[in-house]
Amino acid sequence: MKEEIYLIEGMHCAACSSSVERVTRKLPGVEESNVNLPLNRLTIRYDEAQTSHEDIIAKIKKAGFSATLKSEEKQKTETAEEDKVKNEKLSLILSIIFAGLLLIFSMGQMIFPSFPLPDIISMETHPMNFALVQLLLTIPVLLLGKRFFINGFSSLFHLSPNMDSLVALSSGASLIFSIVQTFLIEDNIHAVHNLYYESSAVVVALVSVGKYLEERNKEKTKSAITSLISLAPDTAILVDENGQWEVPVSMIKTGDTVLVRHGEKIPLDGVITEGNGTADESMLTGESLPVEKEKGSKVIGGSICTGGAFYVKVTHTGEDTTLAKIIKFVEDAQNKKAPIAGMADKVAGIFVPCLIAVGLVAGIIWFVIKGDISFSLKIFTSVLVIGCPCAMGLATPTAIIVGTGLGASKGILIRNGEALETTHKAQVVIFDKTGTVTEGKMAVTDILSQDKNKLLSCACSLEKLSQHPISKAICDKAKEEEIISSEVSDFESIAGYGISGKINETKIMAGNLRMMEEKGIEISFYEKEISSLQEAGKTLVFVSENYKLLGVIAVADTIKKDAFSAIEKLKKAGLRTILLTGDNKKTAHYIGKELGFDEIVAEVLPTEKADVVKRYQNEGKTVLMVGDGINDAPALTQADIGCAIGSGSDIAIDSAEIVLIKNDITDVVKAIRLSRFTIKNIKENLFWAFCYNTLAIPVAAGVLYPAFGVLLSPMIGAVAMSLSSLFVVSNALRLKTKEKKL
Amino acid sequence: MTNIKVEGMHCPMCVKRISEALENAGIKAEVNLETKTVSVADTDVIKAKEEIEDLGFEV
Repeated sequence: MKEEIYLIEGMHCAACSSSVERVTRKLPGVEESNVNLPLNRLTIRYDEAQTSHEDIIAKIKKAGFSATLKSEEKQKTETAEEDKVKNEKLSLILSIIFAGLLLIFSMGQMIFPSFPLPDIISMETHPMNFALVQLLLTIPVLLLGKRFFINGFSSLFHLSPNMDSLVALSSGASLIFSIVQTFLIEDNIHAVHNLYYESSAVVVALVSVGKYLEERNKEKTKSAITSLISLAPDTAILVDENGQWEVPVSMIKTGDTVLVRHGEKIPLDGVITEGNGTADESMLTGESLPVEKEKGSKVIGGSICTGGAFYVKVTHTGEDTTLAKIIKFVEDAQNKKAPIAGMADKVAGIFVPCLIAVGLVAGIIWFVIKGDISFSLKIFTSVLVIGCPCAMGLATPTAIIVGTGLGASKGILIRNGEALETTHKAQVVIFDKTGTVTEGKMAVTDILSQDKNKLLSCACSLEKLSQHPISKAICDKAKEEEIISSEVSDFESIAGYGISGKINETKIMAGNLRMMEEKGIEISFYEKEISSLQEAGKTLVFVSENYKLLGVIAVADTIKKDAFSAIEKLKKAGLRTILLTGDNKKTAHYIGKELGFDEIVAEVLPTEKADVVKRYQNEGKTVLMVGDGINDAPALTQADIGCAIGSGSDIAIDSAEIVLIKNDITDVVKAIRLSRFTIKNIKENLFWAFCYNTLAIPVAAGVLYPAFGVLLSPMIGAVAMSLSSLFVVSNALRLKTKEKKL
Repeated sequence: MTNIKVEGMHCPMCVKRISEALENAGIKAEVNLETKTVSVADTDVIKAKEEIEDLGFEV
């Protein structure tokens, strides 16, 4: 019996986790299978005689997820992290409990005079005890929130105050003022009406809630690296004068020769010494069209041999391989991504010096008028006490939570809440080509022929016997036109040229230009058309019957229908649009011009894609990148906002902050609009948060004193607290109503 | 066309898994998250049900 823990990727909801449990339970010998969704973990107990570790992984893969066995070491660091999260949650709950109790205790008697409090601590009869109880309830809250004080005062003294500074200042002022008043109670019983312990505690508690919500909105993007690493195979076939051995890839040195066969992954970068075939280099170019490889061709570790077999002399190992460089790049880019200074911090940063200034000025003016230093101190402290809005910490996270939910309902998955704050700032939008603005599948676009049906019939009959994507495209077209194919005999496939066979004793050939030239078949009849199709970067299949040209079929990747309107909308909004692809220049320019891109960059490697992103960032522009493939990972990570399109690889999804689940490119425009609505909502929330407290500042400063003898009171503080919190949360919910406009 | 009722479809990602799996199996299907149904041609029903069960849903 074995018990193992697997890390599962791709589970997003309870239904997904039930699916994983269900399919693994179906395996023979599995006793128990449990999924922990928030931790992305599967714990499974099984009889290894009946089911193997590979069986489990395969079953999970078939269900649409990916699984890796968790190693011991990773388990330890993960449990340490989990404990940290648990502790934070516990402190948050305790803060809320103490603050809540304090609030009920202090406000209870003021709002409901008959509020039952034991006589010994009642405000009327034992005011000193009343105050002391409040102090006791306040201290735990402030201790649990001590990071706000540490960060806040430190930022303040470094002259770059933020939200924490405002909290620290105001909460600290409330505490000190209340303690002083507590000691004054002995002499002056009315001092008991000047206690602001609840202002101090509640502001810390609420900001803690806000910070906790913010952390929850930030999903870790580390998984992209593990997925990239899994692209390289663990073992390879080493070939030397003694024979062939399967060895771990780590043991292979440069200069060694390895054998790669059809269907296997190429282990390391190298050069082919013998043999030929085709490779799928989509991880590098984004194109899954097989690339012809022969003696002398370079191959890349991590790509797949899709045909033939060859011997490769290894040129790079370990850290020097192309794949390792891509991984390092993504890692570096991820680490360099600095957390953005949210709107709330920026506002607080400006507010703090203003608040201190107002307090000082008010204090000085009153000193000039009254000459009473303690009165001036009272004014100064009152301004600081009322100056910090309790709901400030809630402004951003509430908007992001609602915004994220709104996006999800429209098929826009926001993996990192911060993305909602920055997306609307995008000035440059970069699109990958294959699979992003194009369907990623080959389809027949043009047919040059006197007899279209005969051409398709002959072509399809031959192509049915080939695995190439071009063959599939031709046969799909034939099926669409309801053309029947015929029996083929003597089928032959010539690498690098094409295929041939006999239909009813006539020799039919389908291949590239080289094949026609080689066999001496005239193609000048369609010379002009052929030339313009070639300029458009399309792939041409020449079909001949008995060594005479029957026709030409042009095959290309088709542009997604909604791409046109998406690019148009982006350009109308004043954004610069760029097409970036690892594919050849001709196709890129053809598609780029069709869609009206401002700039087209082609034939670039994955790290070069990221360099293009960097180039614009160095100009000070905010860059949004949209991609779908493994080769987009570095660029997606480097971009300010990475946007993966749902049909794309898991690695692209892991590298991006936003995922467009529907395969619809116009969702990029929607995502930008969503971000705009969200940031507007955050600004509105901040307004409501600050509004009531700011209105109360003049009262605290003593503006109403000359006429009405009114100064700040805890009641005013409480009213401001509740109104601001209420309005912030309600306004955040209002964001939901924007659904129609999205 | 037959409608297959699928239990446990909660989120857009579930929809994506189902439609991708059916597409890879060569079955044309329409997946509806709201009604929790998958519509396929009558001839594909048995295969579709198999695929969906393999994903871990209940039909």
